[in-house]
Amino acid sequence: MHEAGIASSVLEIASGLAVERGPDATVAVVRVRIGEFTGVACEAFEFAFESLRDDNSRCAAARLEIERIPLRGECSLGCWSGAPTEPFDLRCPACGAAVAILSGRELEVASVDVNLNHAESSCC
Amino acid sequence: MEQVAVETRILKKNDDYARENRERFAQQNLAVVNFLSAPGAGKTTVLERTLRDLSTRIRTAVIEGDLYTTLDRDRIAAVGVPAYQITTGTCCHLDAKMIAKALAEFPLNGIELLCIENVGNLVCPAEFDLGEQLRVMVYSVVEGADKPRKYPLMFHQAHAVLLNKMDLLPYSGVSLQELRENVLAVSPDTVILPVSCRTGEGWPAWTEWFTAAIARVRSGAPACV
Repeated sequence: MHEAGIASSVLEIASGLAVERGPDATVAVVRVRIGEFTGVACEAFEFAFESLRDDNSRCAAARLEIERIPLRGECSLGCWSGAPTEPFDLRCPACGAAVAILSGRELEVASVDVNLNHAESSCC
Repeated sequence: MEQVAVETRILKKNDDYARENRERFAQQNLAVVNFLSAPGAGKTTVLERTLRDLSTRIRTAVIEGDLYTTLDRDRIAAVGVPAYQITTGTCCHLDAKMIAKALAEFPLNGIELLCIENVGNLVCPAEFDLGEQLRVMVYSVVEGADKPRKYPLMFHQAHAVLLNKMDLLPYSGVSLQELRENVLAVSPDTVILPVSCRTGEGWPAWTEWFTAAIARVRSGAPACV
């Protein structure tokens, strides 16, 4: 259950961007990418984000958008690429060799929408 | 409204600390191993027995991670190996900053091998790079054959998986073949080593692999051949 720590890091990154943009700037939207092959459960992450944002004056009204990135890989011997045929089975379905991961390990903040003043925030 | 492209790893701070730790380990020519498992799989017992075998030949120190108590540090110290306890409170994993903080207080002069025993947990520790070169997972066969499929990331991250408590296999109803198959499905290149701390089954194969892996990472080579 480290989703709280992950959410806290996301809020810190987002609020830092608002702080850089002036005393009235606040965060409207935070977009993150969470890979399928990470230890992060999206529902728990959303819950942690919603719980923790209330304590963060720059992010109190922030909306979280999660893009879930599927696990994809390619055979280390080059004969196959794609999504595993069985969940998290990282053997090449063609030859049995190890599959190198191409995507699915992402834990990233993609972009953040910042309201530059409170008036803008309240009218949205 | 301004849209700011960030494209930053959420765990960037941890990654930065991990990189600094790794540089420091390399400067000291120190092999650093992260031991991972569920609670009760036998990490500390594996370490005790391993240290009894190796610590006369390889100068070793241990960092222990637990939510509470210094019980594990005391067990390691009783083997005659310097040990430092991190108590995380409610935190379910060690992170690279905790290790950096411990390194400031725990002298490692002349040490060749640092073993870090992570908090017992099959999920969260897998996501946090500590700066180690080697990850060893301890899995007890009584946990069942299915867990590699249910908790794939930690198995995937491990260079070696010890299948511990082999002495209990006959009583467990677990198929060793099915367990092996499930480990290899999520981690095809992982080295699987069935062992029993109690009977010594499989122990020479483990210490031989571990000694060779320590030598490899200290020479700057990858952890696995």
